[in-house]
Amino acid sequence: MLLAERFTQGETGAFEELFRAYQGEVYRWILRLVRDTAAAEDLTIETFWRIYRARARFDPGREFGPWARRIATNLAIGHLRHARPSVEPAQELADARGESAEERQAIARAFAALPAKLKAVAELALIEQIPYAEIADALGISVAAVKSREFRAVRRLRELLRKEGIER
Amino acid sequence: MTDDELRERLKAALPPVAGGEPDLWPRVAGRLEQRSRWHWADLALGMAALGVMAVFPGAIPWVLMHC
Repeated sequence: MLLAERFTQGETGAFEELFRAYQGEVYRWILRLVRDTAAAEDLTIETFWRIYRARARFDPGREFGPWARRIATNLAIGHLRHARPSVEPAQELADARGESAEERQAIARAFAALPAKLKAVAELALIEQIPYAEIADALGISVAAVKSREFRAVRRLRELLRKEGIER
Repeated sequence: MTDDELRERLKAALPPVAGGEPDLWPRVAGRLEQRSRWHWADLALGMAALGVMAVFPGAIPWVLMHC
């Protein structure tokens, strides 16, 4: 019997195999979104806990990874909605472009102030440059909706950067 | 600032978060084990329901309806 079939029938060993095969991928995905290792660990555990509880609804003919990623993304966005935005302290040195630590911190502050859904798309599309189709699949929305959120995120970021005195 | 410049500045301001890959299975397994154990409150509720049914047999349909 296939691993996925054994998992849907509630075999704990099969669940552990799937966990070990996918935990790294799920953890890294969540870490990209929430930028906090402790939260990423907790959310990874919660993701697999929900996966385990929903095992009867999983179609063994489908891929496990995208399903897990979608659950993880929903949880990460939920976390971003309630988490207090944290900004790392600025490093003293200016970077290669001569951008000061204060400027970088202001940009990070503006990013942290984005609404959760826009922040998730901005992180994945703008910073990580993950293909739109992959983001759409993880969010359970269309590619057009991803592009629309990216557009709104950029517009909002520009507004916030203007307030910070960075964008004119 | 162009979109590309904005992207580059975001990348510079928000570098990837370094994180090892912790083995989280023990925590998940602990949760699974916790779930499979009967909690004392579940047992107490079951006993209470049985008690009610023994003392008031007429309440059996009501208790079953709320199970």
